[in-house]
Amino acid sequence: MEVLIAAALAVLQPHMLLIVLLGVTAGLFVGALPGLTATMALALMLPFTFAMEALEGLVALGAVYMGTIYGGAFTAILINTPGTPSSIATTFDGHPMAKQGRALEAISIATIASVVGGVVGVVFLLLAAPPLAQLALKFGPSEMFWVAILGLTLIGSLATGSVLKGLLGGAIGLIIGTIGISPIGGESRFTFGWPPLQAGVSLIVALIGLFVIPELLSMMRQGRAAIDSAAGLGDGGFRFGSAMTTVFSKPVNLIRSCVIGQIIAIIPGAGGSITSLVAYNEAKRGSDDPDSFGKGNPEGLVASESSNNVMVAGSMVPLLTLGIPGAPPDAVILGVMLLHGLRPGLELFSETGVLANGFIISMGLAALMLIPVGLLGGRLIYQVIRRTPHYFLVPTILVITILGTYALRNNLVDVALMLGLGIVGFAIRGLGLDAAPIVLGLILGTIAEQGYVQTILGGMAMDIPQLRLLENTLSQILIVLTVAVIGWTAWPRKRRQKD
Amino acid sequence: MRIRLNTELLSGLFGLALAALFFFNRGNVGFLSSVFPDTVLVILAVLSVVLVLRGAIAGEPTTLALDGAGSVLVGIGVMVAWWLGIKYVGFVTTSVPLFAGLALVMKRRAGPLAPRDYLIALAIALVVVGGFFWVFSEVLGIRPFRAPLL
Amino acid sequence: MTKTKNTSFATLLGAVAGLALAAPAYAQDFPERAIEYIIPFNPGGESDITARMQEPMMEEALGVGVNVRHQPGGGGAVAWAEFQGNAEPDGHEIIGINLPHIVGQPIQRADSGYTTEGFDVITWFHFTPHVLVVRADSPFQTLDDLVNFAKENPQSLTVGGSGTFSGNHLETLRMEQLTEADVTYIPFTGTGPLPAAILGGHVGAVISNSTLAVQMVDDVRTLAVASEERLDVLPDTPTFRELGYDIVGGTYRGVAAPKGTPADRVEMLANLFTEMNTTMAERQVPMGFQMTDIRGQAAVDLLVRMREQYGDFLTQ
Repeated sequence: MEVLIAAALAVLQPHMLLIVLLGVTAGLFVGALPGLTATMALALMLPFTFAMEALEGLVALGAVYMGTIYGGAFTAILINTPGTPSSIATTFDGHPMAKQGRALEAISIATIASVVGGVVGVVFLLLAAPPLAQLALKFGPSEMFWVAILGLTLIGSLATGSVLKGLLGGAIGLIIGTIGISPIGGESRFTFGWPPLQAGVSLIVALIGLFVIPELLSMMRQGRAAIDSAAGLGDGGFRFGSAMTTVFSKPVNLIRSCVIGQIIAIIPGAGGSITSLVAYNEAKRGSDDPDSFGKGNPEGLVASESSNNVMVAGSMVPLLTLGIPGAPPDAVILGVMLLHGLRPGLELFSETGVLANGFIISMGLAALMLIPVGLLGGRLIYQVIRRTPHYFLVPTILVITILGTYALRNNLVDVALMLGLGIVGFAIRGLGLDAAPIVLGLILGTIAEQGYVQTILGGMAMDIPQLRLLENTLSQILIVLTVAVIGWTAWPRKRRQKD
Repeated sequence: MRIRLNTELLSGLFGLALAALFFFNRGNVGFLSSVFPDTVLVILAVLSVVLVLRGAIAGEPTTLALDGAGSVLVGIGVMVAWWLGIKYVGFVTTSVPLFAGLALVMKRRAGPLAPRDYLIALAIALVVVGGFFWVFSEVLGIRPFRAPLL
Repeated sequence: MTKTKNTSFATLLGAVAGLALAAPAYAQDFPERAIEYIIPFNPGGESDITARMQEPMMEEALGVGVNVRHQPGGGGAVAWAEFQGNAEPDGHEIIGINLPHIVGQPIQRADSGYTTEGFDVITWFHFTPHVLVVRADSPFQTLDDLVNFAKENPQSLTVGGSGTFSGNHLETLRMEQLTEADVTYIPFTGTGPLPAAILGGHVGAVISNSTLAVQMVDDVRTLAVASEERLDVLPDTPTFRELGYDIVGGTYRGVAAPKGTPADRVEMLANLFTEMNTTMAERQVPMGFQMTDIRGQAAVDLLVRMREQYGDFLTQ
């Protein structure tokens, strides 16, 4: 307790608060730009953090991280484009709300949900890090395989039209994900004789291509009509009070989303990309009126934004206690800690408690800072998008997208892949093949493959190595869950058809 | 203009084409690298065949609007030209005219263009392209493009 | 941005005056513009963190901006291929290189897109020897315990490491050859997942770099280290040689210029990297790094030695 007070005092210094404020603000704009990721923002800050005290450096990184994940919500809501992979599910209901003239209200709801998520993640981290870390260690290769399979069942309920087409989209994502160096075999495959494809199709390249480019092409297609829907984002105002009511009136949804966010955050490698999708899916499934999802139901927005902000502090659990970076940005934070001579582990809390707890508390502060920064920044971005005529908005987004994609890996091939996937994505969207299942397949394919092949390798001494997939209790639980989800998805559909 | 398409049949055919493309490029890789993609290819092919069959037997054509298809083709052309320009000419020299051109093409659908519009489009293109190029190259530190011009 | 970085870090390293003095002796027409320093891996890794430390020191010494850029993909191959194909050989473009990666990939992949000899190596500035670690509560107290178990129970002991045909993998194959132990190597994607794999008991042992052993010193037991002599940071850990197995290997990190870069510029950069090593040693040696300066003929010999050591495994 004394440690906590000392840590809080160390963080509640004017210059620390300024670092948090600047970090959150910078992160917000980075997150809002497609292609600029939290990892990149943190990497750019590295040289600054070397010159700082360890605590200052970590606080700055934590604040930027929090801001980036939140900033992804703006473009998701306003132009149907997830700024970061973690805000894919935000587009599902956030953008329909904007189209109904409730853009600012959606931003308010997203902000409040993000703050709740951020603070809840910090509370989990302060109170429950050791048991959560033990749980994280249970996820070995076979468990990861089943996590990926469970994730793929999301397609069944995420698909807006035909489930079969959703599954086909998922399979397309899976096969695209196999391009490049195979994660376990180490050989290069499906490069079509072209060395740059060794790098594979990065998730973010696919994300931008499949979400942004079709959106731009359909804005070009609709011409004047697009102006009416895009700039007609409405001036309903923030409605902050009613947004508060909206968020807190469904506490079950909020709590469930936060718990889902925390559990997925500690699963190493699953990272934030699927958190919001899982939480969204559960919100939809638990709702009395699942059909209203995807048409501007604020509950979906709350689920997505609260769960993905839990992840920021949540992924610090395996990082700080075990030294396991669960998501790419965590790797940068780990690097900074090691350079400052800090070793992750329980000693981090016992020997340098002020520093560890100060870092954690500062992430809570960063979450709270999202309210003023987010509402001001949100209004600014909203006004810019609303006032820009569509014929300037489209080429501007295209310029940012191209530069952002290039910046990702400093690779012009990625830009070609992004544009190509986008054009194909636009064409197959007309056939009813949505982007979300394809991206989900891309995310989960690598996880499934690694888990599967590593498990089989580990069972080389057995007669049937595949049996190792069924050995552990946690794997069996995941299998039961998967079967239950498939059954649930298939059953009510039949019932609905009978009615 | 509207057309009627059997989307189930077509998505199935797309899936089959993709599966074939990957199947014939599997190359010579070991078990550890091939077991997963092979499985996925089977799943992809099965799903595609089911879609093709359903489309052929019970498929109901979906009506798709083709309004503005011309603009889409222009848009795709602009994207391709943009990439080629960045690679072989230069980022700013490509982006400014394409930005202005795309803006003018899109604006023209709402009504005839005044001479002033050309100047405005060019000015905005210069500011936006120049501004973001500066931010990305000076603040965010991207690697310079390997093209002869800026 | 570069200027701000420069000053803030310069304050911290104000004492390192030797650096600033070292450069002007050579610099006449070089460098005349900013240096592009490509890191072919993701942010946060050891190569990246090192480059980020070097960046402000290089700016201080050279008087021009230094831009560290990431170009990850294909275990480094994408950046190396692009660099050999397009970089100007005038010293303003340099790239981080790693061993045994640049020896292994061109042998093992038909489409790696680059060759081992296609660089002018400036210097190899880091070495992190391989270590074999088990969880602290593992029944294996010594390397011999582990080897005996693996001989009696073929393939049932799993050894995790980073990547396939990577340094970790090749070292495992070499260890199997020399000790006659029969283990199953399980590749992970990078070093990041290895702590979870060992702490969660997903693998029986891990082969990785000395930095991991230092990072996890409280939770693991390091059975042996593949260096010539014991490490100061792991004084109680025997070397493989002490235990009777001639295994010396690990990851070398260095920088290279494009083939055909003027020799005086390569030498000037090599001197600069070596100078910087003395500063970085203070922070990096406790983390498990060994500072090296392998350049010129020695660098060529190193490549030859690597190929002799691991080439058989790669062509099999």
